[in-house]
Amino acid sequence: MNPSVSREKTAVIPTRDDTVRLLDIAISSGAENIAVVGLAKNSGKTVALNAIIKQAQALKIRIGVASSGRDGEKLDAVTRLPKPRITLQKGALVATTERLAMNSSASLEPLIKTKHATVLGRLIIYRVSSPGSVEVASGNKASVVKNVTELMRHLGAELILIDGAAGRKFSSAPSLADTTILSTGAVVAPTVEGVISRTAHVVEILTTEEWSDPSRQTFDPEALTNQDVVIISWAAMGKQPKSVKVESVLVSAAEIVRQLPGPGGTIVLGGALPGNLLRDLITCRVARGSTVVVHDATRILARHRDISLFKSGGGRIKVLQKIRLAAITTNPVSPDGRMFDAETLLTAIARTVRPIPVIDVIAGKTRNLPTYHEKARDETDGDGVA
Amino acid sequence: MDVNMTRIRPYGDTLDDGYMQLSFTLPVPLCAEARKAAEILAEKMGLEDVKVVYAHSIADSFSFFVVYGRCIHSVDMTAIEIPKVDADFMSYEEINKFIENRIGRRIVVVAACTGTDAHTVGIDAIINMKGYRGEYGLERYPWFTAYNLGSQVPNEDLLAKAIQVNADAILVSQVVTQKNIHIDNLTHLAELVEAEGIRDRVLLIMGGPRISHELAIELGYDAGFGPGTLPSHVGSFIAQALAQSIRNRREQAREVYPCQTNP
Repeated sequence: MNPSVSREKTAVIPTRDDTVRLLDIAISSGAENIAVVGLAKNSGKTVALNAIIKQAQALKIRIGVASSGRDGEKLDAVTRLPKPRITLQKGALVATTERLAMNSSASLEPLIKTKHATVLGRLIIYRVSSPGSVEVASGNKASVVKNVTELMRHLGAELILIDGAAGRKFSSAPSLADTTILSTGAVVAPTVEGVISRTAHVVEILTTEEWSDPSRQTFDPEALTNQDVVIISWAAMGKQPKSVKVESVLVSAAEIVRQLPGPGGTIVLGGALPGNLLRDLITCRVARGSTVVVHDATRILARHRDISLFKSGGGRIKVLQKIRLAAITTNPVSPDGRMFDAETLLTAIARTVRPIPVIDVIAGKTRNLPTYHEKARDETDGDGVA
Repeated sequence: MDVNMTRIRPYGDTLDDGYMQLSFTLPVPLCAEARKAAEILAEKMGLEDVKVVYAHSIADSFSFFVVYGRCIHSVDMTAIEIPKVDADFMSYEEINKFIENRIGRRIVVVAACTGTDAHTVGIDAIINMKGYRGEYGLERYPWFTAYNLGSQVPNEDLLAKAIQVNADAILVSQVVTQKNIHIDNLTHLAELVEAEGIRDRVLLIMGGPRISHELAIELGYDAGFGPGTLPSHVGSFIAQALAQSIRNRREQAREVYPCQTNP
C-alpha cells in the first residue's frame, strides 16, 4: 500500500478551476470577513488562506490580512518545520508587528500604529507598497484581532482574511468573522476514521443551528454579557423570562440547574457552555426537552462526550448567532510523515459533512459543490450535521 | 578556544571536527545487513566516516546500535532568534517591593496541573511555600495570594476558581505531553477563558518541561516557562506584566496613533 503515489499524481496538476472555487464559495454570499480555523496545527490553514489571497488579488479585491497565530515565516517557530509563505500584492493591507515587518520581503508602508503591544512587538497596520512575502502575527486575543481587523476595514479593505492559530477556533466567532473555513487533515488523528470522527465533532459544534423560538426576538446578542443567564422555564411560559446574574456558569452551574422546575426549560447563557452544566442537567434529570442557548458556537466548550450524552438524553443546543461554515479543506499529509490517500480522505470527509463543500486545495479537487448552492438550507429542528 | 559562532559544529576530539555519537533501535534481527542499514541511515542523516561501534540484539527482532561519525552540517547560532519571556528577573525582596510600590495590593494567582496530568512537581516548585532550589514559592511571598489546586484539575474548575477569587493570573502546568495531549488541553483552556470574556483581565501562563514561550504565544497565552524556571522568574513576569496592563488601562489614551514618518 502506498498512498503517496496518488497524492503525487494529483499534486503536480492542480486544476486551477477548483482552487478558485474556495474564494467563490466564500464570497458568493457576500462574505466580508473570512476566518480560516483548523482542527490542529499543520492542518492546512495557511494553504487555504493562500488560495483565497491569490484569487482575491487576481480579482483586484482589496484585502486585509491578519493572523491570530503567527504565519508566513520560513520555518515554524515551535516545530522548525517549513511553512507556507504568504505573498501579498501592492495595495494589500496587513496587521503585523514591526519586527516581523522587517523580516518580510515585501515593502510595507506603515499606516496606523495601534495601541497593542504583543510579545513580537507593537502591532502596526501596513500597506504593501511593493509585492513580496510577509510575516504576519496580529495578536492572540479576540479583542486585539477584532480591533486590528476593524482598523483595516476602516482603511478600505474590502475583504478581511484572518488566519487562525493552531487548533484555536475563536477567530470564527461572528463578532470577528461572517464566514468560516475549517481546515482538517492527517495531522488530526492516526487513521482516516479518526480524522473523520474528530472533524465531524467540530463541524457539529460549529454548525449549531440558530435558536428559532419566538422569545429569540427579545434577545439582543450584543447586550448579553458574560455574566448573564436567562432561564425560561416551562412553568413560566407566557410570562417574563427569569434573568439571573452569575459570576460565571463555571461557578454556578448547579445553582442554575436547581432553578429549573422541571424538564423542558431553556437556559440562555451569556458566557461559555462548559461540560459541567450539561452533566448537571443530565444528573438532575432535566435534560429531556431542554434547550441550552449560547451566543455563538465558539462558546460551546463542553467536551464531545458531554454534548452527545446531553443530546441523546433529549437536550438541544442552539446559538443566537450562527457561524457560516462555508467550506472545509482537507490535507492528507501530516508533518510526522503520515500520508493518507488524498481522494479517500476528501470523499470520506465530504460524505460526513454533506452538504458543506469540501476542498483539497493542493490536489485541486472539490466535493459537495452543486448541492450546496442549489439546496436552500431548510431550518429543520436538526442539530448541525446529520 | 576560538569558536566561530556562525559555524557551530559538534566537538569530538578537537574543535570543529564534527564527530558525534548517536544511538537508536531498528526493528530487525541483528545481522550484517542490519549493521549496514544502521550505517547507511547515519549517512543519510548527514554523517561521514560512519562507524557502527556497538550493536546488540535486544529482542528477537530488534537491534540496538551505537554509531559514531562526522557531521557535515554546521549551525549559525547568531541567526537564531528565540522570543523569551519579556521581564527583568528580580529577587524575592525586589518582587515584593515592586508589587508594594507599583500595584499596591496583593496579586492573586490560581495554579493547577490540568487534565489527566497528575505530575505536580512543576507547579509545586513554583507555588508551594517551601519552593525549589533554595527559592521560596509564591505562597511565601507576602504580596502574592496563591492557590494551588493540585493535579488532574479540569479546565472548568481551574477557571471557576480564578473567577471566584478574581485572579490576576492563571498558571497551568503540563508535564505529560505524549501524543500532544497538552496542546488540546491548553487550547481548550484558552478558548474557555476567551468565551468567558475574561481574557483581557487575566494573565494566562503555562509551564512544563516541554513548554516553550513560542508555544505559549501561539496558543494565545501571555508566557510559557520551560525547564529550570524558578519561582522568582514567574513572580517577576506576573508583577511586571500586571503593572504594565494597569498602566495601559489607566492611560486610556487615544485608540490609535497615525504614523508620522516612514521608516
